[in-house]
Amino acid sequence: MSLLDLFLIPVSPVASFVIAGLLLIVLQCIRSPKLKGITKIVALLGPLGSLLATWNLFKSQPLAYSLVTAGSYEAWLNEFILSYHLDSTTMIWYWAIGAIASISFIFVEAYFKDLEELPEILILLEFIAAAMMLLVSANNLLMVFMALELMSLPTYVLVGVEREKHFGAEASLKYFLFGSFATVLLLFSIALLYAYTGTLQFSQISNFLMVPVGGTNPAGIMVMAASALFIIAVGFKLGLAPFHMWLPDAYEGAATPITGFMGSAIKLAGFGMALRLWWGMLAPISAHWVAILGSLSVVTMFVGNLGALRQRNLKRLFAYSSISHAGYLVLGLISISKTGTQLDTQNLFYYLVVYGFMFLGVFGILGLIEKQTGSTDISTFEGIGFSHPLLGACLAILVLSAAGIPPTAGFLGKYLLFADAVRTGHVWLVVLAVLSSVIGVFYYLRVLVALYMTEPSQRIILSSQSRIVVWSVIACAFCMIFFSFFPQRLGI
Amino acid sequence: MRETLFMVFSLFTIAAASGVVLSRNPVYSAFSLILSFFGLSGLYLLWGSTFMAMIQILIYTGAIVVLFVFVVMLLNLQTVRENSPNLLFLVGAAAAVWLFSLMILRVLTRAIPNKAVEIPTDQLRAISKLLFTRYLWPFEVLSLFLLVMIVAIFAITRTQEIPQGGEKK
Repeated sequence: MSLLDLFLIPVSPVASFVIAGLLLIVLQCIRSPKLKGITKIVALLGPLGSLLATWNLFKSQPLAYSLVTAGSYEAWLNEFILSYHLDSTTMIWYWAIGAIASISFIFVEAYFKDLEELPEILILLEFIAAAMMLLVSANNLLMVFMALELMSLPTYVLVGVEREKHFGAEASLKYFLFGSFATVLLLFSIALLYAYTGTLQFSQISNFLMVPVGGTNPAGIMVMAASALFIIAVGFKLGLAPFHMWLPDAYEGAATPITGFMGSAIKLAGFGMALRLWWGMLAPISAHWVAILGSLSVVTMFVGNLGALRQRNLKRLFAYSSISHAGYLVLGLISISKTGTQLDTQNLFYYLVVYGFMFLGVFGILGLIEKQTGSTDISTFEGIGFSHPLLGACLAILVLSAAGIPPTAGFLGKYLLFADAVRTGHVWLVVLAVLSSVIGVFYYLRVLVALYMTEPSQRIILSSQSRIVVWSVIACAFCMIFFSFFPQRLGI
Repeated sequence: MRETLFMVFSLFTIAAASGVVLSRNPVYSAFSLILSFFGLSGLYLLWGSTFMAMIQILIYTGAIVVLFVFVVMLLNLQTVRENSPNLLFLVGAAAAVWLFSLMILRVLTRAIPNKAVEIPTDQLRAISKLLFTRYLWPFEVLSLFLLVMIVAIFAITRTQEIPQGGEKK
């Protein structure tokens, strides 16, 4: 196999984002008003090129790549093959990241079209997307750490990019402090694992842990401490319950389309990382962490759903809703079963994608309305079901999907996750999860009541330029129905 | 020659380190800290550990102490007012003496091998070779990281341009 097959084609989905980002930087150096229009088109080339590259990679049998035995190539290529995990699961992750990135780029461009910092925001988004792909395909702890930081640091900046509005700077600082604290914990756990095993490679660490570690010998304590720190650090990043304090503030303080991106794509990548860390590396000691993550997931669901009950700002309401969804997703994460060496991740992935498009679509609509009215309070949305039937219907479908009401994909996703959990013996967790989603229905219904059962308080006129945003929102809502009837399209 | 240099660097480091603790002005303390780091890096050089010597200056002097100085300047600290040796001071001194005597005891009671661990003389070359061969891919990702940070800093520090005679957007 040549360099092309081993290196260039595997990294092409990542490289597409990076190249688009570099092109944007070059475009910014040429300060010409004519190039302003090109900026937006070039930015969209990143995700579209990435989707194309993923398709090409999909065709060229990625499984053959992962079976290549490293050792007979140049040193750097060996190291690359060892650190780059590529199989059919990763490929699905690439699809989702590419698709969600394309739609959120459209939202961002429409929302910030008058802002002078738009090119910088787009450049940062390109690199964040590239980092997300590196993160889900990382195969050693060094790459996990670097990709995670490459993803997180620009995100802290994006949260605070609208300094004057809302409380962007405060949200950004909060997110930064919590995030860097989590990074330190992650780094510490990596150091502990490295000290114990002498390697950063997932598969080698996993082999090391096959040998049963006792509770009292110092090595065992080291591994236990490392895995506990992993739970805390990843819990911070995913916003699980005792570590979720930053999330509502950061999600509310960030500009609406940025929140949409954070809640969908970054959460998707975060769960990709969690999957690799726990099932790719710490699987041999799963008995130790499954129970902890299970209890965290229940706490997360209840904190999210109870916290959302009292919110009147829809942005904050959906921030809490995303906390509760993270709880369901962790339940899915711990109930993954193994057939042979292959992990059954389809159900988790189905829920992740459905949740991602749901969150993205909701924040697309919130962004549209906020752009016109300057507010995302629930009173702004009163009567929108009558004044803007199409938008209202889309929001209704997305909210129903979030609540998990039958004809939508949200229901099927929850059903599949809970069925998985029952099959792997987490019956009590499922009972609690169902209970908490019943609580959740209450606040989702409040949004529907505002949409269809109250008189419009003000007239909202959407500008004609936002048509492409409306189409993207319709696409998200369509996904909710489509994937419900054709789940096999997502590999189920 | 080696012994003399060792004595010079050690005495220099100790003198600078006592300057950190004893000076009343926090800025002087920070500068003494820089001096003591230079002395330490001289000791590393004597042992043939060129990489450590360089990193010592680059990271501690170049980054950390500069950060200290910035904090001191920003907070606008005045000279610390005179305190009489109180209980806290005594506890701190006792802890320092205890730690020092422990280390000395350890050195005196253990037979130290005549030859220290052999340090490869060409550390810098070895590290850079690894960076550009085996770890090329992480290294490239790291370079992306630096680029992204530059763009990010532009995005947050950029001030809105105010057009002539107009209001701020």
